[in-house]
Order: sequence, then C-alpha cells, then structure tokens
Amino acid sequence: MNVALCPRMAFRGVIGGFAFFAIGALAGCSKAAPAEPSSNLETVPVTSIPGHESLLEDTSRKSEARLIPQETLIRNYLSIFGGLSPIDLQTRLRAGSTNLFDSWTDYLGALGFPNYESDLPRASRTNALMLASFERIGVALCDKAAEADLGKNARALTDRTVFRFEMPAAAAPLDTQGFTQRFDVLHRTFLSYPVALAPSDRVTNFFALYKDILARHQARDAGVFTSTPAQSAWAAVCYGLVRHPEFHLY
Amino acid sequence: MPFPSSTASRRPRALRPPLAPRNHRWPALAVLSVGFFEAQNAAAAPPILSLQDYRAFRSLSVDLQGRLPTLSELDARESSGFSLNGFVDDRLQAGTYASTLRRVYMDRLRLDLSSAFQYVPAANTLRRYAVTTESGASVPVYFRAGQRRQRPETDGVFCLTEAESGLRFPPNAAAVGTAKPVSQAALDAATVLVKPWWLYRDYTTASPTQRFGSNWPESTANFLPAPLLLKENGATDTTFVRVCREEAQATPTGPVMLTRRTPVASGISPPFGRYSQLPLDSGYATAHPTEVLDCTSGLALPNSSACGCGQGLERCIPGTTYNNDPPGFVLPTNSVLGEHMPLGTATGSRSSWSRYWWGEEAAQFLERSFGEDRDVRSLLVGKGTWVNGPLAAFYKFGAGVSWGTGREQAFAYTSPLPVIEPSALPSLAIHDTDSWLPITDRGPNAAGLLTMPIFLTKYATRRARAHAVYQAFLCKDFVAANVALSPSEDPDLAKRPGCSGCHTILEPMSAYFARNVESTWTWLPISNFPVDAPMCRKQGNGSVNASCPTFYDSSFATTSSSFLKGAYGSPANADRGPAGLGADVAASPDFARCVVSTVADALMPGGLGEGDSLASASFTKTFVENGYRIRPLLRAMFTSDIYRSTSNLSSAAWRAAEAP
Repeated sequence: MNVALCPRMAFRGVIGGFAFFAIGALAGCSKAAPAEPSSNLETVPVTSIPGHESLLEDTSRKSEARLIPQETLIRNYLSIFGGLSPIDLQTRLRAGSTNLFDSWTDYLGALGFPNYESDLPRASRTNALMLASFERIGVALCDKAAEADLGKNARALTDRTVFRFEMPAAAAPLDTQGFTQRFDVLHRTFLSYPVALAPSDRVTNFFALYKDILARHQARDAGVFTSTPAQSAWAAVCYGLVRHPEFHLY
Repeated sequence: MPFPSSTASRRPRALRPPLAPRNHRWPALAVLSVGFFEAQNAAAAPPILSLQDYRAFRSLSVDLQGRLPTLSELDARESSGFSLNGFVDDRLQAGTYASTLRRVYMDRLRLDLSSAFQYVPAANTLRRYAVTTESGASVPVYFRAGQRRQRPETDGVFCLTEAESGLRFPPNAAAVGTAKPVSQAALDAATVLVKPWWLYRDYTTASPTQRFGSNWPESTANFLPAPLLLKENGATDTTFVRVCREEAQATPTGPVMLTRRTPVASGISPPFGRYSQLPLDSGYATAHPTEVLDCTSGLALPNSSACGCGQGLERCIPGTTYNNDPPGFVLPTNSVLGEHMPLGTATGSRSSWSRYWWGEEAAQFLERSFGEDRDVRSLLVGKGTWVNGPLAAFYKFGAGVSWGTGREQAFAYTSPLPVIEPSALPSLAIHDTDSWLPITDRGPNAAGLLTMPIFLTKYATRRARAHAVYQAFLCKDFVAANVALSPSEDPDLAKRPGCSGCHTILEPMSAYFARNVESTWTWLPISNFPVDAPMCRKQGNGSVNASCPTFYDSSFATTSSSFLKGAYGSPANADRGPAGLGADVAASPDFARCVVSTVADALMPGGLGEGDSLASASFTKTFVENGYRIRPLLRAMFTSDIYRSTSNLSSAAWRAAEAP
C-alpha cells in the first residue's frame, strides 16, 4: 500500500477536520494546497511512515450476511416443523381457533418472494413487514409444535419434530445445565451450531425468558391457558430462535 | 435418558466450553483452503469445529440442498470421517443444487405470464350455458363459440335457440330471458351425451369406466378439475356431460361448409333471437369449396361444421361458465418449491391452464438441465425439452389453432409448422401432469428456452426477446448514451441519432426473432416468407399489397425490395433464427463469464468483484474446459477460499499483513 507524502490527503477522509489541521501543520502542508491529490505526487509504502511499521492488515474477504432465499426459508419451516407439504402444514396451522396463520399465499409478498407475473423482483433485504411476517409465521409454527411435542397429549419422544427432549418431572424445575442441554437441541436445529459457540449471554438470556414465561403461567389459574406452563415457556424460546437474525441470514 | 439416541452424541459437545472464542485469529490462510478439509479428515479424532466451520457448512447446505442442515447432518459434520469435499460431491451428484439454479435463472428471466395475457382460442375452448330440461332440472350444455352448424338458427353460436330454451345467448355473457323447459326432442336433436377426457382416464375407449379419482395413477396427482366440472349442482358426481352435437364430433377432417349467404343490410336485426347475423362464407371457403380441412387447424372452426373437439372432447379445454376466460381447473397459485409442493391452489381460468404449463416447461427445463449436468449452452441451442401430459396435448392439438384465418392466407401458410414435431411427442395422457418425459429433438427451429411458448409470449416483441437474451446470458444491458436527440424520420433506429447507441446492437439481435411471430410462437418459414418478398414491394403508385403490412415492414419497402418485419437489422440473422442467436451467444466469451457471474452472484454475497478477477478467470476456465457443465463450476466455487469466506461475518479476522 502506498500513500502520498502529504498525509493531509491520505488521512483527510478518515480523521476529520480537526486532525486534518493538526497533521497538516505537522507535515508542513500548506492550507492553500489543492483539495485533490495530483497524479505526480510521490508515493511511499505505508509501512515507511513512522508508527506504521508493524501495521496489521485484514486481507480476508468481507461481506455482509445474506438473507436466506425465500424458497429456502419455506423449506426450512417445512423440514424443521414436521416434513409436511406446504398445504398440509397450512391446514395444520389453521386448525383450531387460534387464527394465527392465514395462508402461504397471503405471506409470499411480505416474505419477499418475486412475482414473475408482475416482474416484481425478489427482496434481498429485510423490511418491517417482512419481519412481522417472520414473527407471525414463527409464532404459529412454534405454538403448534409445542402443543404436539410438549402438550397434554404429547407425542412420543421419537416422534417429536422440534422439541426432541424429555421434560423434567412437573415438580422439578430446570437448572441452567438442564436448560442448556435442551436449548442446545433447539439451537442446533434452528441456527445450525452448538450453543456453546454462541455469544456467552445467549443461554442466560433465553433461560431468563424461559423462567419468566414459566413463572407468569404458573402464577395464574391453570384454567386460563390451554397450554401447560412449560409448554408455553418452551414455545417462547422457539419464538426467539425462529425469528432470530441468524435463522434468516447466512 | 433425557435425549433421544439421535442427539445423544451431541450432548457432551453441547456442554463443553466454547471451542473457539469469538473473534479469535485464524492461524493462516490455509485455514480456508481445501487442503485443510482433507487434513481434518485424516485425523482419527473428531475434528474441533469453530463457529466459522459451522457457518460454512450451513451455507453449503443452503446453497447445495436448498435448506438448513438437519441434526443428523450436523452430527455427520462433527464426526471424524467427514469429508467436506465428499459432501459437496455427493450433493452435486444428487442434483439437489438444481432448484437453486432454477431460482437464479427464473429470477433473471421471470418466465411467468400475468392474467393480462389471455389465451382463449375459440377452437379449443368449451364454455357452457345451463338450460332447463323437461324434468325441470338445470343442465349445463357445453359449446364452442363460433362453431359452424348446418342449422341456420344456431350456425356460429350456441346450439339451442330462444324458441327452444326461452333464452338468448349473448357472447361471453349470461343468458338473457326466462328459461323454459327444452323438449327432450330438441335437446336430443341439438346435443349429445359424452364421457369427456376430464372425467375419464380411458376416454378413448368405446365405453369409458375409469372415472376421475378411481385408481388413477400417481402421474395424475396434480390433475384436478374444478368442482363444477366434477359434480352436478355441487352434489352428484357427473358421469356424462351434455355437449352440442357438432362439438362432440371426433372425425379428424371435415369438408368446407359453403352456404352462399349474402350480407344482410345494416339495420336489420339478427334472426331467431340471435345476437349476430348468420355467418357468411369466408374468403377461404369460397376459394376452396371442395377442400377437406384438418380438424386441428385454425381453419376448421370457422369453415367446417363437421369438425368438433375429437374423441372424448380431447382437443378442447372445458370451462364452467359462459365467460370469455372461464374457470376450469385447480392449479397451484405458486409452485416455487416445485409443482409437487404448491404453496396454494385455486381454480384457474382457461388461460391459466395454458400459462401455468408453459411456465412449468421452462422451470422443468432449467431444473433438469442443471440437475442432469447438461451443457449449459443447451439453454440457448438445445433441441430438446421435457413435457408432461397437458403440454403434450397442447403441442399436439392446441399450438396451431390460432392460425390460418388471417393475412397468412395470402402467403399460402394456413397450416403452421408444428412447434414440436408430432412424431417426437411422448405418449402421455393429458391427465399426466406429474409425468415429465424428455423430447430429444423438437425440430430444426428449436433453440433451448428461446423457442418455448413461455419465452415468446413473456417477451412478446422481437426486441424484448433480444433484450432478455442480452441481459440474462451476456450479463449486459442497454444504457442510453448521453447525447442530444435530434429529430429524425429515418425508420432505421440503428441510424437515428440518440437511438443508434443501443439499436446498433439491438436491431441485428432482434432480427434473429423475425421469423417468430410477435406475441406467439408461430414460425414463418423462408419458403412462404422470404426476407424480400416481391409481392410486398412498393407498387408504382407507392401502395403496398394489403396483405403485406401484417408481415412486412412497409417503412422499408421500395419498388425493388421489401423486408420481413424485424429483418432489416440483419437479413442473415433473420434466416438463422433463434437457433442462430443461441449459437452466437453461446460462442461468445461473454457467455461463459456471464454464467460464472450469475452463479457467483447467487452463491456469494456481492458476487465476484473487481478484486476477484483472478478467481473469476479461474472459474470461467474451469467451466469452459469442462464442457460448459455446471457441476465442475459449482465444485470449484464451493471449495474455493472465496466461497468459504463469504460466510465469515467476523470483522476481526485479522491476519498479519504481507509485505506491501
């Protein structure tokens, strides 16, 4: 990397006006010098500038995370939540009286699917409506999965689709280790890596969420809810993962 | 035992402390190299995976399989015997990447038509009116608009009169009047009962018995007539349909019908309660009074009362109403996951039936071409395609019915060349929606996607077609130069100031499509439509033959020459057709670069930038040297440092700088 001799030019855009004047004065550059560098300025290696001899340079390619293609998102929903066809899953989500899910067709535009008929391109960035759709679909999926896997008529462990772990006995609260073991199953399912590699506060935050929901439900009359406290608490954990940015980006 | 066995092996790892701190430094570039993967494999102990390893694996799964890795795939990734290259090779071999590439190219070409494009040829669209029988029941009667009949009262219109039914039948609108019972004699005289193709799998037999839904094969899983086609009054299974007698005819040919009627003076109301006067003999019928017409041609409907919809009405698509574009079949509203996994279904119109299958042909062509690792140049020059039952029926019976009654008669071209040679069509019933069979050679004019109905209708004009190819397969676009536009009357846009910047390239490219009629797929052969047709040259008084402006460009006609429309940019290209364009584009170095760039854009955020010129050249070389096949290109990309680093979200992956 080479820079022009007058540091004012090289650092101008980076360090702002105050430093510009200071460095400019130190280097003896004139205030009346032209604003843009001319092509005949002498250049030197950046490492020859005092203080830059051991400069580290990040040579790796950098890029922002991408939004998972919309088709992949739907396939992920389908594969994680039971391997049903889109129509069958829609039927299951609409069953009962929760009214949490409308139809896939209603969400396609909000999810950013392209519309070839109308020549509308695919959305490659998120927006508020898209995030709201992630939320709504995720809540519906998690509620139904929690009901089937952890509800009063829970499936056998081997038949579960999302919550593939045993629940502790009703009277036995989960400790951090017990929660982490179970949360790791969900973390790997949704985010594709062990929670041990996640930011250090992830378990703490999700465990706090779990305990909060659990406590709120336990504090109310059981007849108020159709779900058990643990079922609701795990469903809330599922909400957090299914709408997590790491679930939607790659 | 708190965990099922499939997750038991993960438990110790889940509880271990983080294996690699976030933002830690990678030891060297070798971390990102393919060699490192293999070094991992050689070790006996399970590999210690970093967050970056997991992210890279996740990206591979999304791009190669179109979904996240499953828990069992993660288990395999964490095992000691796992080979990342092997994983890539396995998935490439399985073709699971094809849906990704289908999406990429469908995003580019957007090969789907909106409902504004209506395809309702009178010759193969059955509509229906309900009439009242002697028993008081309301019975739908199917008919074709414009059907010629020997009975003057109903010639060219619905087959029952106002006197018989109490109703008048305006075109494409509800019947008017008060229905009265139609006598059984009148009903039997004008109509017949038929076991139609949409109700019977074995409709070609003398006594069909295999009604819809009763043990039909898997290949018909997505064939679903609208409820009103299946049940009378929404309750009783329909076993027969009542059809106007002429429409039910199954003969392959019919003689020209000549009535020698004379025009009626204006102001006189049509007779028999009709909304239109009795049809007159067409110019074609007058000129060919003894000709026997092919009942699948466009000439048959307006010129012969002996031609109908064929056995079991197989040449016609039914609708459940009298409307111009009546609903008929339940179709996927969105099939981006494939036609087997629709995201929704709805009863579609007659047009939807055709539009959907045309679009599906292109989607299948893309997915199967990529999945079978065919030469990517076949997208532009391939003679083959894949068709299912509805498409085979369209190419056999429907593709030519909109042609023959217009100005083409002056050029002796009333029977268009088939889009696909009938002999090449596989033996599929129209119900076989889920059975896709290959066709190796559609005919001499075929050129990959470029001659498919969906491409030729989506991009209806010659210039739109050329532009689509220029964008999708050369990765170029037309950008107007910053020049002053001075007035010009020069019809040659390649010469007009301000226009020439783009049209110098666009006009010769458009000329390749001069023989594909705009908005449709009909091919204009050189024998009938030479680029310079003497009959279309300007005459001494400056006029042009009235039949010519439909096909020949009057602006370029002189007394010594004429130009087929769109051919002026390059007569040679016009004669080479889309196959010539496909060959020229595929031979361009820009084509391979464009494929690489297009695929890279989909797999790597930001695609290949200016700083990736070496990698881009390497990928292009791999692609070309491997016969323009996609798998070697994908393998090179998926195992490259660039791909591995695309999921590197850490901004702190610092490495010591090399000497500048």
